[in-house]
Amino acid sequence: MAYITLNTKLRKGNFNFSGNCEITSRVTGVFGPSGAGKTTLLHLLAGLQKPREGFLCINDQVCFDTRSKVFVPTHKRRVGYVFQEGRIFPHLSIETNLKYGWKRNTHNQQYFDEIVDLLQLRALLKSRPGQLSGGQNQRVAIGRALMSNVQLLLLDEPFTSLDPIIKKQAISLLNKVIHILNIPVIIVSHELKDLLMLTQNLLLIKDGLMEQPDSYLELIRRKKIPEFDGLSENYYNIFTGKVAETLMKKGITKVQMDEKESLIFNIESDEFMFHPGDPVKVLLRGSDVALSLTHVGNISIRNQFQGKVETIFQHHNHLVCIVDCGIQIITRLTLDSGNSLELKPGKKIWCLFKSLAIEAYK
Amino acid sequence: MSFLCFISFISITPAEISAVLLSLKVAVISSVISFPFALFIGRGMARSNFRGKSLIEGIIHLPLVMPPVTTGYLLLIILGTQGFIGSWLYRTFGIRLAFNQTSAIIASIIVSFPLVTRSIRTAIEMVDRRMEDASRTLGVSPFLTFFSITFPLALPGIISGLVLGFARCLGEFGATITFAGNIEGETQTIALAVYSLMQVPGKEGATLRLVIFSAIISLIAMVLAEYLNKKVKGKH
Repeated sequence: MAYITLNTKLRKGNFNFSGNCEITSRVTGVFGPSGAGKTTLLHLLAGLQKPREGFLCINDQVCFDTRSKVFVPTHKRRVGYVFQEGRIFPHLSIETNLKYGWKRNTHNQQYFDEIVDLLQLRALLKSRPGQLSGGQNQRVAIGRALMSNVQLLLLDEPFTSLDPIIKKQAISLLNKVIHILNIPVIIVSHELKDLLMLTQNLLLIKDGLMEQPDSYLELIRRKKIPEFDGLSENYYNIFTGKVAETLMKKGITKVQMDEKESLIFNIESDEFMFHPGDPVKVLLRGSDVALSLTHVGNISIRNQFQGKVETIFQHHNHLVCIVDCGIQIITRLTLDSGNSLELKPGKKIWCLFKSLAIEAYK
Repeated sequence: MSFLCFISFISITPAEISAVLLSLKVAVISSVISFPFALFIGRGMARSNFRGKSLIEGIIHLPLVMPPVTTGYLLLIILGTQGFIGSWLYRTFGIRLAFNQTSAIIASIIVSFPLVTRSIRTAIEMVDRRMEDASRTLGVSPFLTFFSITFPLALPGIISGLVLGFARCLGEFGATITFAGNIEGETQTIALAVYSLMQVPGKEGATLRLVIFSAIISLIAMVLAEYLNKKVKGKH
């Protein structure tokens, strides 16, 4: 069943927006360069923009159908929208902001308390919007949207205004919120890395043209990400696992991969963050993975996994190689390295990466 | 100035008290009546686009650019007992709209309305539309969004508009004298009383008294508006 079915054409001055898509995954990331039409898509979903023609169905509710002249206005769609700049009402306290939609919809005190505690907003309830930091603003905006009994949550560039440490905390918190919620969530970002920390299902938009959403790995296999972005740095491996062991004296935490439990990553220890059993997401850049034909002894690299080349293709002046080690590891290497290893699909190869190359998120 | 002179200066005649009270009455009633309409039209002008918007805008603003005496004359030929609407009202319901207090109020409403509407419109235009969008995504209808988001955020500008309108009503002269006349105790507001007193030699003291009253009332209105403005802005 599709959460969202959208088929639309829209014209805004010189900008055309169009495409067909069916969103079947609960959490979808919308990725594209600035000005591609990401926010336009969210506006269409929320009813803030009227399409010239098309059809939109959210959770079986037809929101617009230009053929039968149906257009459900924004306030009747139950679509929560967390705007890039938060848009906290400046004349209302944080508590009144949070209760703004709640009063007219759910009006359930227990739910209010749950959301307030989940988003750590209790201490801010009596504050004025002007007193909040960027991260707090964002949390209030998310809380306010969730209070209004929504059937779809839209997040527009939720991490843009946050500094790196706060961003990391915000990503962890948002991951938690998304997993507790039982509604479809769409997150827009121009930062692929942020998006991948929240979901692997991506909907690509370029020059106002939407594509059918697919998994990140599949998009790379179809050469969509490199073609799409043109930036060589954008290959990320995101894996989920749980903390198996923390070896404080060695400065290492062992993380067991969800997809293949026999695979244990060594990551840098963080005594404040990880305890055995904790779920963890790890991020590894494709360019931080070295390939070797043999296991390498007497080397500082703690992570070495054997696998087979699954896909390899050239993009601009580098190679993209996906190695199947039980989990698919995306690597990026120079043409020279690739040629010297004579890489081709099916070839056995070792993937090497340092513990310090891994970023871990709770 | 001797003590007696001072006493005579502050001894107010019933006619003067009546002019001051009438001015206040006309200004307050006109402001109260015009406010909901000005709010409705100001919102429409700020937020809606429709055919003929410029024409309606022009008609509303006409009394602002026309000499008030001509506005009064137009009112007289429309609403006066000989006028095409006024004569019908008089014949059918016995309602007389010219040369009484009602006509003074009508004249004040007509001349102050463009000022109030314009201020309200500008105040609403200054409110970030994106806040209204945010409200609608939270399940709140456009009507309630206006009263819970737009109105409170535009309130400082709306208050300024009301004070401006109130002051315009207090100072109204041309349209009132033409349409409502200068009848003591009935339509003679401060402005008209000052004009009448100026025609009579030896009434300089009385004239000055009314001018001072007029200044005090205007000052109180402005101070009150400033106080309310600060209170509202402090909340934001």
